[in-house]
Amino acid sequence: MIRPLFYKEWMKTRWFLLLAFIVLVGVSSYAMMVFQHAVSRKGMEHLLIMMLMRKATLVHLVKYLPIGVGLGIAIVQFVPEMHKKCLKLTLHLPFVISKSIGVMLAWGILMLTLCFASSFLIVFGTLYGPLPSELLAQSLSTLYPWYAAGFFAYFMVSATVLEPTWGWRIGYALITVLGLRIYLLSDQPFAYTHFTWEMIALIILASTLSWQSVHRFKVGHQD
Amino acid sequence: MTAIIECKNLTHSYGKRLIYENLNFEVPKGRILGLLGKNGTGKTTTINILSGFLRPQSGTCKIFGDDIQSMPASLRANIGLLIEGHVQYQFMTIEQIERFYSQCYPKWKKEPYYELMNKLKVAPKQRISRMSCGQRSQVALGLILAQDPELLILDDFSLGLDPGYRRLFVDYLRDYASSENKTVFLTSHIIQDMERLVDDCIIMDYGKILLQQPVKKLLETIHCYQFETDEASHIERLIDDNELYNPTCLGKKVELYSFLTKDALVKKMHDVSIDYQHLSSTQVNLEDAFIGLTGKY
Repeated sequence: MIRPLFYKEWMKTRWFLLLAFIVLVGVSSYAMMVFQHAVSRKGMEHLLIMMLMRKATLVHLVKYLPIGVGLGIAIVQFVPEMHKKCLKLTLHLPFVISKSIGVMLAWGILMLTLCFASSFLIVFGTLYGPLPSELLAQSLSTLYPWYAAGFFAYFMVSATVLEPTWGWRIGYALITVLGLRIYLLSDQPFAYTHFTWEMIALIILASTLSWQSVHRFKVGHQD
Repeated sequence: MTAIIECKNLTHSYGKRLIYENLNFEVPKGRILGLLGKNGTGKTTTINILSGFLRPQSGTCKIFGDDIQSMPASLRANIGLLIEGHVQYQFMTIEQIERFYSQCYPKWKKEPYYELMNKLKVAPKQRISRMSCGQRSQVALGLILAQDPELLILDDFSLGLDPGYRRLFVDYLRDYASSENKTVFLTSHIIQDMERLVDDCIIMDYGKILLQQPVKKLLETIHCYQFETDEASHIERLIDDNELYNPTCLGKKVELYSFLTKDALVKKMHDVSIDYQHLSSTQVNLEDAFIGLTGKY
């Protein structure tokens, strides 16, 4: 069951994944090159002072990319399923429907994780060593709400695209916008330290919506 | 004969618009059954219920003895589904889509699929999104044949096809179903195709089934009667008669359809005191029978 469904998801998403991977890795590498250039021009001491005094994080270029990648993967994965109601073909496969949806979402999660992990490793690999651990944590703590926003965007856009009724679709779109606003409220380091569990809970809640959309599609809800 | 599809007391409506109430029908094993009905009589609704994409408001629908709504996933491997418009995954090529489905179905036979593709002279690398509607219909049919299901459910299989592709589709399907003893449930708005293909037909009118019987029997027993009368306005006396279907007048000429014999019709006309001349009956084809039973509009 997993193999054919992963094959289908790969067929839909491979070109976008390549693009997303290149952009994320490229921008993360560029941000780190800017950091290395600043170190060579003004010295490490100056940079450390900037980071301490102005809470500079060195990763701001990456801010909106995880959301873009999450949104993009959801679109390239599920718009073709809804085109001419192709989803009927997927739901007619001899697999348990809830598991099929789970496998499709698992593909998205896996690909997002790979993309975000590559970007994270570039940042971590470059900053680990030159920066003291407190300042390294400061930069990384700014990154993770953005990655979380990418997962949230992925689940919400998936549910919105899979939704057969306009009422729920508009509702989901509004929740997506408001939810993403929460994830992007602050760029300050450690701003989300006390909000980590809430962010995870929001992502888990968002992940359940796709099943509900598919259930409504399956039983024939329409406007 | 074992029933592959059993629908009992199906009732469905969209909002306040009742599509049908207490609909009952069965499809026996090894038969090709065509569902005929005008637009809006509930053909697609029935197909959606049968393929599990619509929950009826009441009633049950069983396939292979299992309720469709709670059917085990593995049983779907035995049902080939053709969605209206020959929809298939547009992002795949001929080769990729075969590779994908072959991993899903245990009884997969790629030979009939590639045989059909070779007949169409389409390259394995050709993307489905770049194919014509006719070519896509053959891809969809080839995939169903390769799946080798016991039951085929085909929604408006002739939609968008030119006569050549329609004939190819019908001939391939009829040959496959009869040689492999498959059960087929289908709809089409082109009734000539149905006549070439189906063993039995269900004719639906708004809210109900008018009849379900073998096409051969239907065409043997239904007659189109024509006669002339000076009292065309008196035809209204026949309209409510449930043995005479859709009497229509054009000048002095009257046309109606009935399962009555000529003698029985003569007696009925006598009973309602209608004078007539030149009474004749003609053999009808399935399209005539359908229009005769359901009316032109």
